[in-house]
Amino acid sequence: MNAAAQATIASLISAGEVERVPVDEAVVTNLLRQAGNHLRTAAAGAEADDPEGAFQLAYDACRKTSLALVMATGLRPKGQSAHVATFEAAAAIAANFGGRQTVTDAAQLRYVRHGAEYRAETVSAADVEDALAIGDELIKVLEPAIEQILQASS
Amino acid sequence: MPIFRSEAQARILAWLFLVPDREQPIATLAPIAGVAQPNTLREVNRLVEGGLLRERRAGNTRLVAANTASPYFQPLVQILGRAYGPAVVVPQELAEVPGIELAVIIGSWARRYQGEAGPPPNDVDVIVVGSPPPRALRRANARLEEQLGVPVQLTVVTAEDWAEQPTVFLQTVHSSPYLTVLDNTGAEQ
Repeated sequence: MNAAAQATIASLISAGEVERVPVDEAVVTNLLRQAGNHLRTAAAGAEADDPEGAFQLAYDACRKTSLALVMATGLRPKGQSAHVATFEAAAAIAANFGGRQTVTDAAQLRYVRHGAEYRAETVSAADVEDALAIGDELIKVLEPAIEQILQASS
Repeated sequence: MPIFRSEAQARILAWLFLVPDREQPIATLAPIAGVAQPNTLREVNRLVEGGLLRERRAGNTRLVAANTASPYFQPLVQILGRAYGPAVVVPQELAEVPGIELAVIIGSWARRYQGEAGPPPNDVDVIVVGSPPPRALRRANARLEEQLGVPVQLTVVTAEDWAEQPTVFLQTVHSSPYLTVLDNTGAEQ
């Protein structure tokens, strides 16, 4: 991890937003499996005229892929802003693997999510399509990174 | 805006006056002022001496915030909001995003801009008319929140819906004060 990523992680730890935990490879693998499943179900939901449901699942897939990366490094987000902390920590770690922008794009899906969850806004087909694309990109970039991290730590 | 002593001074004032519960170490204001640390310190000292900012010490750290008790507070909020607030920053950012026909600020910012008294609103609501690429719009949303330091909600509606107002939400928007900050409708014809 580079110095900037370490500084971000250190400040998240001192703010109590992430904590150090032993790496559990099975949990990480399970999260990646769930993320892949969520994206498939989301794509089916989009076809079945359920953009809000599809978007929510695509967002969750992005969050779980990011969480898998964070947990592969022996960190776990906690507290009320765990989603924010997950993406912040994942973006810092992903910077070492050329994945920072994709994680940031995934984190910014929160704007659409908040609109749908709290202001009862509808989710457009374009937003669903983009969320699915970001979910795919994230898995493509982060899965090899996660494998590399797990191999190095085992 | 040539009203203020310097651009740096205006930026410091806007950052602290438009979010009056913001209290910040002077050392962290340099990136906001856009000048070097010593110049930032000089500007802040002038504003503290002039009673526009209030200062509190926490150990060795000097924290400053807007002095909301100053008789200049309310009028300065009006001027800064006009010169450095969402009405200026929102169109700057959204001009970078393709596919936007119109952007209007609604809600409390629009009401304040048109003269309603009260503290600066703690979020900004914007209607974006058109079909911008979602990812580019979300990136602009994030940059806006970073610049303004408050939550910014962008709601996309189609040109057709904006014209026909089929929802109660859009009818309410049209019957309340709103502020058009970006209009590309002429350019596209």
